[in-house]
Amino acid sequence: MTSQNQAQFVPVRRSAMHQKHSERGVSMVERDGWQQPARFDSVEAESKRLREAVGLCDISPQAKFVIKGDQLDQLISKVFPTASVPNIGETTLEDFGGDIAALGRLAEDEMLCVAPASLGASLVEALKDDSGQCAHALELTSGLAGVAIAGPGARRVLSMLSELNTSNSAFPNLSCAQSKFADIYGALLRIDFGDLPGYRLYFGREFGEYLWEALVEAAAVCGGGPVGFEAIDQLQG
Amino acid sequence: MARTDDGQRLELRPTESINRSQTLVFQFDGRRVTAHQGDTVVSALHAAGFSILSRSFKYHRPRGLLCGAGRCPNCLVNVDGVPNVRACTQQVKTGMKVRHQNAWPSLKLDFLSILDRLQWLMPVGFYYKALHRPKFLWGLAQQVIRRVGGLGKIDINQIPDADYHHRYHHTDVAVVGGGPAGLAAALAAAEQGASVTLVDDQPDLGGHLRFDSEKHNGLPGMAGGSGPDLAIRLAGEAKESPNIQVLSGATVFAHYQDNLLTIHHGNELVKLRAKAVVLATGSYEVPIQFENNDLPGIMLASAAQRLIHHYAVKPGNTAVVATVNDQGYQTALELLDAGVDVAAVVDARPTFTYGLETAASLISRGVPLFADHAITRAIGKNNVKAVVVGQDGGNRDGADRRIKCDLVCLSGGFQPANALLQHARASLDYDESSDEGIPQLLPAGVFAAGEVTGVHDLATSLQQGRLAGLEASSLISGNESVQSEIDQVKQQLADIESVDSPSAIPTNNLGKKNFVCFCEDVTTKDIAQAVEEGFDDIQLLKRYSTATMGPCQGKMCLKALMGLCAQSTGKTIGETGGTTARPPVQPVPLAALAGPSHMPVKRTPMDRNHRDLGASMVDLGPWQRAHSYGSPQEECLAVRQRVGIIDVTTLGKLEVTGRDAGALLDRVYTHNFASLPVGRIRYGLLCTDNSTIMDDGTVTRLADDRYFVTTTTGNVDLIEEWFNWWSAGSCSCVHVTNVTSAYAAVNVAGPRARETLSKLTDVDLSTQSFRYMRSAQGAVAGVPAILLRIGFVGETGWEIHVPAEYGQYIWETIMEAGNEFGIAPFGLEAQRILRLEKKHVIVGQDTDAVSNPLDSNMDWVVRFDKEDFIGRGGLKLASERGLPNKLVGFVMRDGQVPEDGVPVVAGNKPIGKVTSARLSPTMDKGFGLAWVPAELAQDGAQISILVRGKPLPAQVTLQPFYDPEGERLRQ
Repeated sequence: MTSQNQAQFVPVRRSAMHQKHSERGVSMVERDGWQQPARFDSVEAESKRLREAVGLCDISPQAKFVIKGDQLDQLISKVFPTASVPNIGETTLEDFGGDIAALGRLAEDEMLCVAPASLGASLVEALKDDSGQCAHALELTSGLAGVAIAGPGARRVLSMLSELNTSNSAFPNLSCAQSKFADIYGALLRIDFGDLPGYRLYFGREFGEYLWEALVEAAAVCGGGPVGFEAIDQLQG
Repeated sequence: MARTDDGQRLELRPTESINRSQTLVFQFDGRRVTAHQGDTVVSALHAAGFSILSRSFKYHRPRGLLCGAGRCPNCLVNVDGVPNVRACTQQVKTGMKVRHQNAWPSLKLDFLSILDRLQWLMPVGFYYKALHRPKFLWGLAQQVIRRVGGLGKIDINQIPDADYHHRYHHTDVAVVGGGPAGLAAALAAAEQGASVTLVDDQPDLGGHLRFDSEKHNGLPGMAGGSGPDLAIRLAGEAKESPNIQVLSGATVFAHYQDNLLTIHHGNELVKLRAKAVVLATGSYEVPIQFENNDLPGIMLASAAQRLIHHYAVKPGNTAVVATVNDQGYQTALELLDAGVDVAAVVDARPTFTYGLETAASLISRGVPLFADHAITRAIGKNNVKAVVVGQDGGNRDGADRRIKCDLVCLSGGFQPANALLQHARASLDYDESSDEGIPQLLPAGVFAAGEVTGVHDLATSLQQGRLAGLEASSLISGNESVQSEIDQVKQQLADIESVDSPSAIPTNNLGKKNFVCFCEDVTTKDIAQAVEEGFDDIQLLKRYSTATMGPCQGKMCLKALMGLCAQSTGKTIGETGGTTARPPVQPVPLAALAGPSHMPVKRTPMDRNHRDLGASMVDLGPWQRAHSYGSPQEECLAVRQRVGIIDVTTLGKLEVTGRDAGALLDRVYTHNFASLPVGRIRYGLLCTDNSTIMDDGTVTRLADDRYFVTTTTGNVDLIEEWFNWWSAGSCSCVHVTNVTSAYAAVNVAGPRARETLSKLTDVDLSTQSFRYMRSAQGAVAGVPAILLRIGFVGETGWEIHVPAEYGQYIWETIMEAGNEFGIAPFGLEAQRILRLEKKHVIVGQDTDAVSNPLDSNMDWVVRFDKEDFIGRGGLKLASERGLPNKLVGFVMRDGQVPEDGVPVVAGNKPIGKVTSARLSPTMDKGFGLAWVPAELAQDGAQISILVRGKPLPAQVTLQPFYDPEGERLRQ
C-alpha cells in the first residue's frame, strides 16, 4: 500500500449555490477555505442595493451548530460565560474570543448557534460536553446553507416566500423562528445591520439552488438581487 | 396632441377621475379610439359613442354597459390576448388592443344571433333533455355548443406579460370595502392603535359616495357635504393615518378559517391573515325584469351615475328611469344636471312617495312621474329606442304608454354583497322590511357594517363602521376603556330612525326575453318552467337553470331568482332562501392562483458533475439522481471488472448521540447495537409495531455515544420522527439529528477500488486492516471522511462520507485517481442490477406494507434472544404460525426479462408476484426476485412467470446469483 502525503491535496469548499453564482459570471474568492462570491456588481452598486432595496448574500460558510438537550442552558453558560441565555424566539449576540456568535433559541431544548467561519474549529472544541449533562452540540456547517437578506425590502422578500409574520412588532430585531420558506423548512434569525433590517435564513443544503432561485426571483420583484461578501462586510463596518 | 373621440364627453366635472390633459390611444376591434388618462375602456367607448360591448352567452344578443362596477358579464372583452377582462374596470393604456368575444363576424353583425330566434330549441335544461340519443349526437353537439356559446378563449400560445407572485401579509384588523362604513371602521380601529389593512376593489376610496351628489348633513362626528366631498375627506384621513395600509384596486375573493383573506391585487395574490375582519362590502344595485331588458342603453342607475361623475361621460340623450325605491329620483336629477332629457320616472311602488324632495324637484322641472307603473317592454335592435310602460306593474290592460328614449336607468333595489359573510359562516336571514338578507349571528372576530347589513342610510353606515372598528380593535387589545365609547355609538345607532326600502315587487311578467341571469341568458319564463318541472328548491333550480352560475355568480340575478322562485312555489322569500356563495367572489386568473412555481428540488453537491458526464437524471422524490450515464449494462461490467463510483449522497443519514443512544437503537432495530464495538458496522432492519418492514440501512458505531445511521432515501424524515417518538418521555439522554444534508457520499466499488482509493488516503485499506463491515475516520484527498466498508453491489468497496461542501472536489479527485484503473461512474439503474445479482432487497420495491423480515428472507437480522424490540411480538407469532409466502430469487431459462410487478402463475391462476427483474450482464439471463407460496420457496423449484401475456418457465434460487459466498465482497 502506498502512503500519500495529504499535503499535496488542495481541497475546495463550495456552497450549495456555487453553480448559481458561477452562472452569473461572478469572480469567486477563497476565504476561510471556501470559494465565495466577493461581488456580483461593483461594491457601490451592491451597497446601494442594500440601502435602497434588498440584497441577498450567500453566507453558507458561516460556522453553524445545532445544540440540543434538556440541559443546554448550562452548556451555553459554560461556553459563553457572559451570555444572557435567550428565550424561545429570541436571538442573542455573544462574545466568543473577541468575535460575535449568535444564539437563536428555536425550542426549549434546541438552539442554533452561528458564528464567523473562522470560529468553527474553536467552537467545535468549546461545545464538546464533557460534564456528563444531557446537552449535545452538532456542527451543521456542511448541512445548512445560509442566506443573509438585508435592506428595506427584506421583509417583503420574506413575505413572498413564507407565512411567517415578520412585521416589526411580531418579529423585532434579535428574534428567531422556524417556518417554511418556499415550502421548505428553514430557521430565520433577525440581526439588523444598524438601522437596516437584516435576516439570516438557514436551510438544508440540498435545497440550496432551489431556494436561492426563489429568493432571487422574489428580490427582483422588489428591485433587489444578490450581493457579494464585500458589500456585506462594508455594512458591518 | 391627438383629438379625442369625445362626442358624449361632458364639461369638466369636479368629481371626475380623468386627466383631460393626457390623451391615450387604443384599439377596439381594430378601430382607433382615444381616451384620457384615468378612463376605463368602457368610459372611453361610451364617450366615443360605442354602445354594444359584447354578445350574450347563449343567444348572441347585443349587450351594452350594465353595472359599470366590474360585476356583470356585459363588458367582458379580450385585452391584449387576455380573455374575459371587464372593460368597465380596466383602465386604458396606450397601444392596448381590445377585441370583442363571442360574436362572428362582428359585434354589430353577428350571424350567430340567429340563435335568438331559435330559443324554442333550447328550453331551460335542454342539455339534460335533448341531443342525448343517439349517443354520438351529444359528442357532436358538445363541440358545436362549445364553439357558439361560452366566454372568451384562452390563447395557449400567449405568454402572460406579467409574472404573478404571492405574498403573505399580517394585520390586526382587515377592513374589506373602502366605502363610508369601511373607512369609518378603519379610522376607528387605527385610532385605537391597531394596525389596519383596508382593501378596496375600486381605484379610489369612497365607495358610492364618489358618485353621490346629494348633500349630506347631520352626520355623526363630521361636517356635512356632498358625497364626493365626504369621500375625499375620509380617504384623506385614512391615507394619512400611519396605522392604515390601503390596498386599492384589490379584490378580496375569499374568507377562510382563522380570518385568512385571499386578495387579487394586480399581478399579486395576497394572503392576508387578520386578527379581526370588518366586512363593509356594501351592496349591489340589481336590474328589473321586463321584455328586452338586456338591450344596450339599458343600464343600472349607478352605472349611469359612475359615467357622469367619474368619467364625465353623458350616458344617453333621453332617459327613462325605472325604480323601486327613492334612489331613482336622485338619479333622474343627476341625469338632468348632466344635460340628459328625462322622459319619465317609472316607480313600481303602489303609492307615490309624497314629500320626497327629489320628486318635487323633478316635477318642478317638468319630468313626468308614474307611480304604480313598470316598464313592460323595451323596443330596439342594437340600442333601446323606446319603452312601453304599464300601470300596476304592467298588469292592468289598456293603460300602456310608449315613451321614446335611448337610455333606461334601472334601480331595482339592492342585494347585499354578503358572499364573504357566507364564507365566514355568518348566519343570514331574509328581512322583509328591507327585502334583503341581513347578517344575524357573526362568528368571533368577524364584524359587518354598512349596506351589507341592509341599511342604506349614510349616518347609520358611518356609525356601524365606527362601531365595528372599535369592537374589532378592542377584541385584539383587550382594552376595556373603549367599552364606554362602544356603548355610546350603540346608543346613537339606536337613536337613528331606520329608513326602510320597500318590500319586493312581484312580477307577473314571465316573458321569454325577460332576462334574469345575464351571464347565462336565463329568462323569467325559464325559471317558471323549471319550477313547474319540479325543480322547486332554490339550490336545484340554480343547478338546473344555471342562473347565478355565470361570471357574475349571482350578483345581478340572485335577488330576482329568489323572488321568482318564491312566487312560483307560493313560499315566502325567507322560506325560499338563497344559494350558497363559495370562493371566489370575483373571477381570479388561474395564473394568479398558481403563482410562481415553487417545486422544491434537492440536489447533491455532485449534481453538475453528473450532468456534465451526460447522465440522464431521474426524480426520486424531491431528489434528482443520475439514472445512467449511457449504458447501465456497461456500467455494471465496469464495477464487476474494474472500479465504479456512484453518488449516494441521497441516502438518509442520522447521527444518534448521547449515553443512551445504543439503548434506543436496540429498542427500534431487530438486531443488537448497544453491544456493537466502536468501528463496526451492522445491517439494521426497522419494523413497525405490527412487525412489518419499515426501513433498512446500516448502523456504524463511531464512538461510545455516537452512531451513524443510514436509511433509505425517502424515509429519513419518518425514521427521525420514529426515533424521537420512541425516545420521548423515556428520560434517556439521546439526541437524533438528521445529517443527510451535511455529508456528500460516494460508493467506490470494484476489484480496483482499493488501488484507486489508496492513492488518496493514508488510511490502511488492506484486507487485514480494513475488513468487511468495518469503519474508519481519516482524510481522503485531504478531506475529513468517514469510510464504511460495505458492499451493496457485491464488490470490494467503500462508502465515503465527506462534508458536503467538498462533494464536488472529492468526486473529481476520485475520478482522476481512478482514471488509470478504468474507473466509470454508475447510476441508479446499474446499482439496481448489481444489488439484484446479490439478492439485496430494496425496501418498498421488493417488500410491501405486509412483508415482514421472516418472509423476506432476513430472519438472520432478527434477534429473538433480545428482551424486546419494536415488532417482536408480531414476528414471534408469525414464526409460530408459519409463513404462507416467501421472497425468493428466480432465473429465467434465457434472456427473457419479466416486467416488475407481473404475476407468478399456476395455470391461469396468479400465485405470486415478481418484484424486481433485470437482464444480468454477468449471466446474460433474465433474473430477479418474486413472492411465491412457501412450498415453492426451495432451491430448484420450477415456477411460471407471465412475460408479456405468456407464461414462461423460471427456476427458484435461494442463494445470491453472484458470488454466493461473498468472497469478492471480503477480498
